[in-house]
Amino acid sequence: MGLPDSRMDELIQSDYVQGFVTQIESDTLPPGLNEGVVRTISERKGEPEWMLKRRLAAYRFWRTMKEPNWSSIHHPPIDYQSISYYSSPKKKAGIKSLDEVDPEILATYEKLGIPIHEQKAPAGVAVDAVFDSVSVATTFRDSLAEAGVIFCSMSEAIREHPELIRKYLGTVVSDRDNFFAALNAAVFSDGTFVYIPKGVRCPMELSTYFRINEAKTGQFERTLIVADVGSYVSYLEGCTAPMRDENQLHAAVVELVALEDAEIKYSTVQNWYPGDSEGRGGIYNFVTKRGDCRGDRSHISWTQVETGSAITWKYPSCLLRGKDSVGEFYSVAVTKGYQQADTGTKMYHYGENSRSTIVSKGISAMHGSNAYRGLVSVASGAENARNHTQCDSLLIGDRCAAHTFPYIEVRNPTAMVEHEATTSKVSEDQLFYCRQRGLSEEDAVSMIINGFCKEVFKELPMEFAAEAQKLLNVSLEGAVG
Amino acid sequence: MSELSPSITDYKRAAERLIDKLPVGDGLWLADKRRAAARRFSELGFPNTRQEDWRYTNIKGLLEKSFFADDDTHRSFASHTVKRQFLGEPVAGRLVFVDGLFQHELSDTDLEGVHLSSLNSVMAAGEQTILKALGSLSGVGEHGFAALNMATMQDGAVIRIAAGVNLEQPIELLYLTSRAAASFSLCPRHLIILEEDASANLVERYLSLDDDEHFTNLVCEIVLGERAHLHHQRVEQESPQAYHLSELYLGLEAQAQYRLATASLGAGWSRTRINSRFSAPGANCELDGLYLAGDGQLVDYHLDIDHAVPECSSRENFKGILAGRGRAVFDGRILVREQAQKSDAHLSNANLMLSRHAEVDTKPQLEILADDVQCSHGTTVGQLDAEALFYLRSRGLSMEQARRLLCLGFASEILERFESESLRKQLCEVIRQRLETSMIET
Repeated sequence: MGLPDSRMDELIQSDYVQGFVTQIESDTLPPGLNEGVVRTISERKGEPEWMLKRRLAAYRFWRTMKEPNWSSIHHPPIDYQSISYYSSPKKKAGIKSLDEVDPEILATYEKLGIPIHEQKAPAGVAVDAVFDSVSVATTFRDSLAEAGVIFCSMSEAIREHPELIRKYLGTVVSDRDNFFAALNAAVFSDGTFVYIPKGVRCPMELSTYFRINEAKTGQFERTLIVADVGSYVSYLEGCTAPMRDENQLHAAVVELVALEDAEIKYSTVQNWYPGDSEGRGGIYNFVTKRGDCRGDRSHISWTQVETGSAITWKYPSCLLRGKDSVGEFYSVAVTKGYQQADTGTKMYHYGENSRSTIVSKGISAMHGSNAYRGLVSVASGAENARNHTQCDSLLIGDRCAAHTFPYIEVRNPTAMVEHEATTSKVSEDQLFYCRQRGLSEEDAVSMIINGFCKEVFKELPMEFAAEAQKLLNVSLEGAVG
Repeated sequence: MSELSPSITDYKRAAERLIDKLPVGDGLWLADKRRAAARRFSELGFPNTRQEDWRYTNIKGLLEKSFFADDDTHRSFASHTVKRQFLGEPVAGRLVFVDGLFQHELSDTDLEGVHLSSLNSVMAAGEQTILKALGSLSGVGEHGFAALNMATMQDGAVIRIAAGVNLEQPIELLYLTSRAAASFSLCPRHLIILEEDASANLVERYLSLDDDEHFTNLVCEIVLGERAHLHHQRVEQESPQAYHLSELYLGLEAQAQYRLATASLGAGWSRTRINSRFSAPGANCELDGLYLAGDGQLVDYHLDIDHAVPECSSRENFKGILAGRGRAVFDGRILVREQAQKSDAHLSNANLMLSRHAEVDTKPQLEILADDVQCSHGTTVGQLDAEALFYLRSRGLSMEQARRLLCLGFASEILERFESESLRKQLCEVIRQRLETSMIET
């Protein structure tokens, strides 16, 4: 489309502004994984005995498992013994307020534009900041506590709310679910726990900001959100990491539980370091996310904007067990450079009148490879289940790839399941139309791409929608032309 | 699948015994090729549900029947029962097979510019040019069954249409099984070659004379030369006890055109895989298929459309009706390789579920490695439209009539792709009957 290759390449080299390293003293375990490491992690976090037992059981099971190889991603084998499984910034014992947090860390978040000073924060967003393996700060806890909402780090939750953790942790994604989930269950370090009590509409947006800083470490966070009967919560996670030549592993597990009439809106803006334009470095993002619509009329909605990571491998899913439960999945995945994304969703319809909507937009540029892999399964008891799936792929440049692998399994005749997918490049007609209205080629392409993703962006909380749009523009800057 | 009885070695030995007995003329290399296939089979074994391609298609029942190829070549049958199955319209040529073997006296092979014969006679005569083409598209076999076919293929149709020959009337390929084939496995292998600018119409049917169980393990290779044009009408309607596996390999040269209308109506277990490969720009293939899965039936369609070169187009449209404990598996893969710019590929699959015990597993796939392409796929699973039913009932139709009418309407889009009028009528009738007897539950 017009521009010569050299100019295009030049334009493609948009910077990864979040790629700096924070110089900070840290307490990092030596690389390697064995039972001793699992015990140490548990000990560092001051966990009760039952938690350690679970970790060890998960570790032993993980050792019997093989890394999955069915997806369309390619990477050199991961040496699990060369990763450090725990790293935390050195800190004074018992930090009471934000002022005691290492100013370097605060500066890091400031630089990233994450509001962890409450007075400076935009109203209505509470943040849990996770730095390497630990949560360093959680804002607005008091105002949330007034509403009865628990919003804290996972380590704290294990200590303070063991009854809730024992009741819900691992009930959606079991410790044996898959290779990476088992690994996570053994070595997870921190993450966020949210509990919204009966009938409460969470007064503000909750968010967690994940930052990998230390080299040669993996981040294994665990998030659990429980929305009790009739409650509502909107949660957003964001992620960044420094630029490094090595590949770092991020293997998280996210579990959502929605009871009767509850609604959880989970949004992700994933911008891990994607590696350089030669495909060196970048995060391996192998994540298991699953929501359980346990109660009748419950509602779980996943929205994701995936622009980062060298490899993304995740399938946020919904178990639609309640009657009239609703599952939604909105995704924009962008791959450029040598990025690979194998992502999609699974919708399991068990409940009567359960409904699901899937909208997936994949954009591949340069050598990027993007795959949608999804499953819609309708069990025999799921009367009147309804699904509509729309997957569109946009190709920019002739070296990229886009794949679509939807699986549809229907065992009930009253089900209505529809799937559509298209793959094409930015249409010459659209481009011509915009150009003859006086838009430059760059603006025209950017407008068309934003239009392509609009359906997904409109699902994001407002501030983040603008953020995501900006991110998309930066990410694709010059990749088109 | 650990303990298989009979074992893979038993199958391999049986295949080797058969190879020793077969006429090879001066084509010793062919026997070697077959032995290589037998070895390949013993390496591969039979597929299982852990393999992505066989994920939804269980072959446990098929293996339990332990079908072996039959080496007896003298069976008798009444020729009038065979003639009754002939296509009800004039044909340009006819190849008839009964229980796996070519029937010369029932066939009509005398046709100018067209070579019509059986693989067996080609092998006996050692006709190298034709034999060399065997396996050119299929290879030795990607899975155990295909390799076993190469090892034990006993007979099949050989059709070669010379350059520029244009046939108005169809060529009929009729493949019948009778009681004599019961509990045997049949390994037909067809080779169809259209040279440049040739055009033809092929009607290929698999029918059973009796309600017995057997296993048809078929491989068919179709090579279309430049600007060649084949309209292929294909019906699988074997006995409800039968197992039927078809592998079609399609190779298209520049600007060749292939149109397929296919219907899977019979066999308790059937699987059809169509591999289409474009080898030069400007070719086009259109596949339309209809499947009916009644109580206890499994119908599986696998499409593998490989756009390896630029400027080719493909369109696939498959529709299925499921009733009772019927099961359907659909897997439609479109691959557009790096070089294949300006490809145009569209696939659609629609399933109509009439029963609460039926199951559909459908998986369209797009793998796109080029950017200047137009590709799409769509798939639906649903039921009869309540409003349409209500409309028909308000016009005085019974529930059963209304449902049948809507099902036929659903199928008609594919039926219309069958050019042969007598065949279309016959198919309509069969579907109507099936809907009456077993498909409709009100």
